[in-house]
Amino acid sequence: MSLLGPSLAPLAEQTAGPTPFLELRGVTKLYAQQTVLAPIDLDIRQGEFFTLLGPSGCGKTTLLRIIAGLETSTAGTIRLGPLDLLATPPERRPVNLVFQNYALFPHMTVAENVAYGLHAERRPLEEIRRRVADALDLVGLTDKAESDVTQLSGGQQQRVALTRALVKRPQLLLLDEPLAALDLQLRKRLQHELRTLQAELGTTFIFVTHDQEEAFALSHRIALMEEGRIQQLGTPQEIYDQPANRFVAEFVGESNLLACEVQQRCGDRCTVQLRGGQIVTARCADQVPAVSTSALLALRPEHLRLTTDDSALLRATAGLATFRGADAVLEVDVPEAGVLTVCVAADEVPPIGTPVGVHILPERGWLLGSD
Amino acid sequence: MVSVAAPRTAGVMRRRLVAPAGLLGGIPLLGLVTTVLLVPIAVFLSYSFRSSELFGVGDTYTLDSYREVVTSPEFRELMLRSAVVAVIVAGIVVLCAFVLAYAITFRFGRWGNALLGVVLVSSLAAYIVRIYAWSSILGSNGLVNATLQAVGITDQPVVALSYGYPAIVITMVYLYLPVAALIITANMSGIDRGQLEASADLGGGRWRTVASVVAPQTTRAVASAFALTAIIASADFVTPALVGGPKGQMVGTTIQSAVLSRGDYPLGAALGVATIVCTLATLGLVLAAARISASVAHRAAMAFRPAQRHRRRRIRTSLSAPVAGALIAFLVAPLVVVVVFSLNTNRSVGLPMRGLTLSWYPAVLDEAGLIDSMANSLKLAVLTMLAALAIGVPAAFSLVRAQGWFRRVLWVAVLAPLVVPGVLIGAALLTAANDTGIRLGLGVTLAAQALYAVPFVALIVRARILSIDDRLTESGRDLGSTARRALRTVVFPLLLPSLAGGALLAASVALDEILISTFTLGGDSTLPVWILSRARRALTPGINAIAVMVLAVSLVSLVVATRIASRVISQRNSQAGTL
Repeated sequence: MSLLGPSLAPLAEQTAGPTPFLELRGVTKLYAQQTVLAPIDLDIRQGEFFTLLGPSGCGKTTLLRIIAGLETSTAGTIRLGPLDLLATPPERRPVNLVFQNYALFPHMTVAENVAYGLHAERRPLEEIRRRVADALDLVGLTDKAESDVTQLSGGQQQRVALTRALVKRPQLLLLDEPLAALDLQLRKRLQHELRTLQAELGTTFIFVTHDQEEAFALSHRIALMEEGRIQQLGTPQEIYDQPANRFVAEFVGESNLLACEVQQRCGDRCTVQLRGGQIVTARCADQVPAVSTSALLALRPEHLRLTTDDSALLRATAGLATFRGADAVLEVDVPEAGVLTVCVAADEVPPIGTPVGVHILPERGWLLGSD
Repeated sequence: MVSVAAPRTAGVMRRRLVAPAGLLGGIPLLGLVTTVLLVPIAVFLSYSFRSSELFGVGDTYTLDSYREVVTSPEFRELMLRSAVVAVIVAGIVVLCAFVLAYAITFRFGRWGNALLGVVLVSSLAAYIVRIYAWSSILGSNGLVNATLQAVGITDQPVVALSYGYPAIVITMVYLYLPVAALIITANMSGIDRGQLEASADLGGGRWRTVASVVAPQTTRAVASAFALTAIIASADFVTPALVGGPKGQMVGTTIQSAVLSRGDYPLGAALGVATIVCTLATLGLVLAAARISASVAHRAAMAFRPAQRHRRRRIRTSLSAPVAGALIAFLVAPLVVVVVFSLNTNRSVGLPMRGLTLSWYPAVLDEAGLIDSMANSLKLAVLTMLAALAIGVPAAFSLVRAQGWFRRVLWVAVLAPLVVPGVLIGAALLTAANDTGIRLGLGVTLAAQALYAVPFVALIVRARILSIDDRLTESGRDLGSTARRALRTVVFPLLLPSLAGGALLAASVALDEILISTFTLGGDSTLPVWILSRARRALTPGINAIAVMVLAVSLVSLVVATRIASRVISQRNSQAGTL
């Protein structure tokens, strides 16, 4: 691609290679005696679309700003290839940030905004003109080049912010909730554009968001953060199917957590006994929890089925249903386990108060330690 | 002129809120500005075309006064010098104010607000005391000279050190820096911090960020501050009177003596017109030159591509913070000098200090005319405060409500008293009073001080009205209040702090006013006028003592007013939270 310099082009092909590209070791942030970031160790691979996901205040933006050099860390090291990032001032780092509110320069045109970083590098004027034109062409803003940035729509401003950072051909692009201010339709479209762009350029992206759907839609890998710690690191599928703990299970998607006791286990399969005595088979990680300890069985709504069968595992009463389009999520009240959510076909929602049976699909639930 | 951001959309949104107050609220303000500013200035201007005779003003219309102003080499030099001093002062002030504003907004973090408070207080505190401070430092028997003589380096005052244009420039920079810093800070604080981070992130160093991101967005405020400073400085007569000495004269002094001592209104008026024309012309030239050179510099910076890049190790410390710290010290130190030497046992205000005493404080109260002046000042302060509230509060509602040409007229009326030099307002009032046979004295002075104090009340209360969330009154209405009741039960209690702050500010502005009241007092006196007349004769620790008292009163009321104002701002935030 024209945006990407010839020097970096070959790298685009080795996506998600095994060599660590960005290496964080013990990165810590204390602020007024409070731990904003516990020591963070993290390896990010070249060409990866990596997402820091978490609720607000979890430290994800702080971590991003430390990588960008806009905030200092209390301890730790960050290496980008051979470069010691923390010893490099922000304007010298081959790292660029797309700001949450874009931080466009309101007194400059679109083209001047995009050219700013190249002027700062003191590139020849001819090269700047060419690269700015190519970059605007790539994001479809050529006809807006001379427009006032304040006259643009939110989506266009977002594109300018992205272009302004990418035109510098950073080795690492940081994005701080860049889509948060946009409406749903536009967000979906820009998510798609971002993913395509990243795949084409092969630039390593680190993306910060609190929206797990967005994280799932975009990322190769996700670090789920809470209270300054990485709670789980993995692909979207790993995080959804094998949550590391209760926080992850509840933050990502919907989870029903049932108290149970581990009866036996064999590799990554186990059987557990629920409070009401029912025996269920489930998946589990290698280590935790041991046999005959108490544990939690995490069940997604789609791991549960409504049934009219008398042999149903749980007896329940139907409650409110939330229509989702293709299906609906129904709340059911199970006397021994509380309120659970179950996926049902949209045209099969029972009236409130109807007695129903709930069936648990075998070997789908995931076993968690009971903390 | 002054950059007061008027958020259009907010004004439109909040129009309903103040509907009951209507547009009529601006009428008293317009009346005041017409009678105390417009008409007197018109009369004054008409006098510039009258003939000047030995004992008064002739009835014939002539251009003699203008001819004299234009042809006399003495006057020409005076005007030129005044314009040059004004431009130099404005240049230094704007440069320092920019650094101060930058440091306060972006470098000092949480300390920024405290330092802004120091600047705010010193912009309004005890004008005469602040000039006196420099006179007591630089004057012929002031700190510098007295110390040199006492140490034995010289046996006569070194005039070059004390009087003349350098002393005037230093003092004026000191006087006008705070207001300019406030204007630029208000503008700069609107720049999102993220833009600075974005610039750094994109590879811009500190200088590039300031030059390409901060400066272009503050040019209007910088130009406003420059123009305001130059206009006010060109016509200042108190500073030359106290630190100018026999050689350091400026046109303001000449206008003052022509009108006040000799009753030569035609000459004074012609000089006034010539000053304004001269200053505006100089300003136009300077600003045009600045614009051209800025765009040339911008293009040059963009085009500048060194053939080889020198990778020097850059110094990563910030320059602006220490410079701003020094400027803050520059604002505070002279006042400390005044306080320290009010305690000197010596009869001089210079080093060495022989010992400490409080005896000057009771002693100065016995001096002739002081108690009367104090009483007059207090009377005027209270009355000015009441008048400013009565006129300024309805005007604030009207400012929020008005649209179109009426809005523009109101803004001009609110800002004019702050922008027209005091010497012109004073000389015009004096001339007009003589013309109409109105007796000068406390009455005219009250009108003049009200004119000067109303803008402060109106601007503070307006800011508060804009900060009140429309939804508060809407919910009041929704819960069954009439519009009038909502105004009384919802709007008024929320306005209360800003009314108190505005009232205190009006009172302290009145206590401080000297430029206009010098002309309008007739045979009466106020505290600042008394201090000026004493300080012109000799510097004694007694004057320091009274200056310290004025300073104390002025500071206390201003600190209270700023406290109240800052509570107003934090309340705004908490309201946003509760909704």
